[in-house]
Amino acid sequence: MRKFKLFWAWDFDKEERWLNEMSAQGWQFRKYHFFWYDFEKGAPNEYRYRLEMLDELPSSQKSRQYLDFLAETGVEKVDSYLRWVYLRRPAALGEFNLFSDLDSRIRHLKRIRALLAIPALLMVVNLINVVQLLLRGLGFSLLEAGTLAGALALMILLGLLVFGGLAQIHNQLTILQRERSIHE
Amino acid sequence: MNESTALTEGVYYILLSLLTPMHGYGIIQNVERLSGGRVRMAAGTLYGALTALTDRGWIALTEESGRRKTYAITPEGRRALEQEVARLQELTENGLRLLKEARE
Repeated sequence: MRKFKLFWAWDFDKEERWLNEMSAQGWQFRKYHFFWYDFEKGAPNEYRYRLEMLDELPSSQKSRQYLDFLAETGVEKVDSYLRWVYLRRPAALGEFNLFSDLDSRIRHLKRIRALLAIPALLMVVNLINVVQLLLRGLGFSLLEAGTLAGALALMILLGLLVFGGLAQIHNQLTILQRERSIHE
Repeated sequence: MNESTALTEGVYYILLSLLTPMHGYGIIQNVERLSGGRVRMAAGTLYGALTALTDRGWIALTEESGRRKTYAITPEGRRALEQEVARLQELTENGLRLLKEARE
């Protein structure tokens, strides 16, 4: 069974929740193809699912050592996408969490935030370029002006998305770091 | 290196567990048992701690039995553990004493 669903990188906890909701209905996640999720029928809540963005690609030696270690605790890598790994563990083995301390969760969020830094920077640079062109733009044909305006609109939309994501991560980090000043 | 700063709870229990050589999953179960079910270390957290402790030289890999890696505490680790127990003792004694005085 295949389902189409859109999750942004910073919404990975929502993605986790959805995969576990599907698992509760008996659908066990198996494969990921950009925005398409393959499920196979199994027992309700057979597996618990978690997502993690690794420091390096899953194929690197460091990552493989980490995944091998997780496998010792009963965790199976279901699929991966770039640096993201989809992990699952039989529910029969008990609760499944990857991180039980705040520092690890903070580190993970910062890793995702770093990912967005480059698109954000590129977007700002592009925006400045387009605005510059428009300001110099007396003598543009209607087509040129229209195209530029369209590009600008698209850039603003994408910018809102990326910066919106960054803002969300920032908020989550603030909450965690405040907690951290009290306990682990 | 003189460490007068607190170890995390997880690290403390890992060091305590590794007075006996143990593998990853065994550590998780042992810590849960020692803490009466209160401390449940997640695999990712444990892995990070084991890596950091190995880099520090407080624990080391022993022989790898098959695919399972076994860890054990080193002499430096044992020293750090003893310092930590002394620190915790200071905290506990002060806590019990002052709370008792406050009740009277």
